[in-house]
Amino acid sequence: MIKRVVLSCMLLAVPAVAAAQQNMPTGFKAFDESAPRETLPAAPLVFIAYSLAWIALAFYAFTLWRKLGKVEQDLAELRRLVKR
Amino acid sequence: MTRAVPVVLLIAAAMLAASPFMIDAAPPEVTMGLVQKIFYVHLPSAMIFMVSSVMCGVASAIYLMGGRSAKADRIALAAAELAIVFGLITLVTGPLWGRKAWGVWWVWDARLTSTLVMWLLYWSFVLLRRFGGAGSETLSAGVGLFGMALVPFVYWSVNVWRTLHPMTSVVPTLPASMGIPLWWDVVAFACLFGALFALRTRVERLRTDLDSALADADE
Repeated sequence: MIKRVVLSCMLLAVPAVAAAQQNMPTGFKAFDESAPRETLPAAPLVFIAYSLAWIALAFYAFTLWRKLGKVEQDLAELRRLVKR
Repeated sequence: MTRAVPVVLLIAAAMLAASPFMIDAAPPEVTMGLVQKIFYVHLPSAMIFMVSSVMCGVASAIYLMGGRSAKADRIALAAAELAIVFGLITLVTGPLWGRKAWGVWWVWDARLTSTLVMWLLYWSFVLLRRFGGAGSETLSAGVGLFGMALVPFVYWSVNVWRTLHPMTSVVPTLPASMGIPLWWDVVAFACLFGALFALRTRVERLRTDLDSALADADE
């Protein structure tokens, strides 16, 4: 039983180790001064992050408000029909 | 509880309206610079994500062990839905921050992967409730328990495994200039969560009332 568990763990670990080894540096490379460096601006990322957060919250609040209105309307309609 | 909703929503709206000024006044972090300001929305949403997960788990446990209480079921469903919303904000704002700070959108480390798994669990909870048919309440309560079991794992993962993600020691050691806007946003998000939670449970209660009224009308 223990052998099977150990063997299963080893088999599961193989792809993870292989993937990790793919990213391992194989040697040192000299720094190239002339190579273009990434200069990603931070402001658009901050703007997008806050915008998406507010959009998600506003959308959820809006759908909730609509659901609440619909179910209240259905309930009132049903009560009115039952009274008749 | 629903009578307090407009008041709580107003408090949340006022706090969130003041929040950009407080975030703007907070100093930028020395190595990450401006992009670190995503922290003030990322961390509060992650905290609320975990709070919703615990609420869903506790309500699910009460449902399973306390005689299938309809109230516990409503609380679990509302908390699961809100876990999806706040989890989405966490999972979207994190990569936007990480792209600039780490150079990559995503890494499959313990923190990020476990957070994604936890978020997907709440999707399974809600989808199970929507399409699972009769008995899905019990099954989804089981999913809710698994979701809650993941919370400590997600929280401690950054301290146990090597990761690019900052450790949990960051928050207690924040200077006041960064800590005040953070806790301001946490309170604002908590107020918003409370109001949305009350509304969501009200929708579910009214739906139950509607179903009962329809059943009575049929008889």
